[in-house]
Amino acid sequence: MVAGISKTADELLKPFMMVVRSMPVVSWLASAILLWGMGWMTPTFIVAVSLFPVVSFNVAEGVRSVDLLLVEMAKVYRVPKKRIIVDIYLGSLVPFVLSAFKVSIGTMWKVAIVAEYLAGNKGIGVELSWAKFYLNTPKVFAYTMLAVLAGLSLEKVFDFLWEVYGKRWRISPEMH
Amino acid sequence: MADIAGNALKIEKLSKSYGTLKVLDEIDVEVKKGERVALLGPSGCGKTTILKIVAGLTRPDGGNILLEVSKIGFVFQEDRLIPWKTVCGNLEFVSSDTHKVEKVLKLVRLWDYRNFYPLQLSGGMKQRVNLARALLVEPDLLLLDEPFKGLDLEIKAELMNEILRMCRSMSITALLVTHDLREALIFADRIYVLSPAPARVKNVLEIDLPSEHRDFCDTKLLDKEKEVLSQGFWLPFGLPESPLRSK
Repeated sequence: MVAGISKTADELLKPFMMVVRSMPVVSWLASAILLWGMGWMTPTFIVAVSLFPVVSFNVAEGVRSVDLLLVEMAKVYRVPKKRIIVDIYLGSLVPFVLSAFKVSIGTMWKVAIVAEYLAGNKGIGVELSWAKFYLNTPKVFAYTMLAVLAGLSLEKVFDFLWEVYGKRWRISPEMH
Repeated sequence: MADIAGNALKIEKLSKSYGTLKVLDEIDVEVKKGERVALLGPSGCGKTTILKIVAGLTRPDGGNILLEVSKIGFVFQEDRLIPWKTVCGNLEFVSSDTHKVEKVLKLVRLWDYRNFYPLQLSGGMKQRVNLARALLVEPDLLLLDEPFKGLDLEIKAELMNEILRMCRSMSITALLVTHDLREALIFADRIYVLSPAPARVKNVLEIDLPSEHRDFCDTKLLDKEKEVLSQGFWLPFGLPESPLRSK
C-alpha cells in the first residue's frame, strides 16, 4: 500500500521486492526449516512468501489506480480519513487482491504441496513423501488425483467468491 | 476584515495560475443569501477552479474568499459515486443519519433505487444521486459544476426542475458554473459572464424572469436569450441552436 501511495517508498522498497522475487523457493524452504523445523509453520511461510510478490504488486497497482476524484469528493464533505481509507482505498483494492489470488491460487497450491512434501508433518505432500518412500505407486497416484481435485475445487471456490464479491466492480449496466 | 454583510459568499480579486498558465484574473463575485448565481464562460476558462477554491480544494494565488456559510454541498460535473456502494451506501458515506438519507432519496425520487449500484443507473439518475448527496449535508451554499453536461434535453430539464425546486423550497444559496447560456438563464437570478482564460468578469446580467418561464422551451426564456445574444456579449461556445437565433 505504501509503495502505491508514495513513489519514494516504491523506489525504496524496489530492491527488497526484487530480492524476494528472485530468491529460489528452496532457499526460503531451507531457511524456514532451520527456523521452525518440520511442521505446519514452514509450508504456511513458503506459501505466504511465494504469494507476496504478486499480491504486493497488485495492491500497489490498486492503490495507484484509486480514483482521486472520489477522494476529492470525500474531502469536500469532510469525511473522516479513516472512512476514506476503508471505503475508497481498500474498496478500490478488492478487485486487485482478488485477481492476484485468482491468478496465483494454482501455483500457491502446488507450492504448498511441495513445502509439505519437504518440511511438513501432515497433509497431501507428507502422504506423497511416505508413498514414495514405501514405493507405493497406487498411493502416489491416488494422492496426486486428490491434490488435482483439491486444487481445482480451490479454484472453483475462488471463482465463486469472485462472482459474488467481484460483482459490484463489473456489474453490467441494465438501465441505460 | 472585509465586509460580507448580506452576502453568503464574496469573492474578491481572485487570481490563480497553473504554472505559467494564468486561469483567473482578479475575479469579483457576490452571492447574496438565498440567491442563485451563475458563472458563464467557455470550457477551460477556469470556472471549475473558482468552485474548487470556494470549496477549499485549491488554494488561490491571490484574492479573498469570504464565506458566511458553514455547510457546502457540491454537485460535481461527473457523478463521483463510489461504484462498489449502492445508492444508499454512497449517501451514507457522507452522512450516517439514515433518516436524512431516506428523506433526500425520497426528495429526488430515488428511494425505490436505494439498493442499486451506480452502474445500474442512467446518467440522469446518477446526477440525481449526486444532487441528493449534496443536499444531505443540508448545505447553506450549493456549488454546481456543470451538472447537466452530457445529459439529453429531457433529463436536463427534469434535473434542472429538481434543483430549482430544492433551492426554492430549502432557500439554498447556489452558485452554478456552466458554458450554456440557456441553462444559466433558467437557473440564475444573476449571471457573471466570464472571458476565456485568463477569466475576467466581462459582464453581470440581472435576470428577472418569473419562475414559470424558467423552462428550456419557454418562449419568454428564448426571447431573453435572444436579447442577451443581441447585446453582443462574448458568447459561450457550444450554445444550443435556438429557434429564435436562426430567425
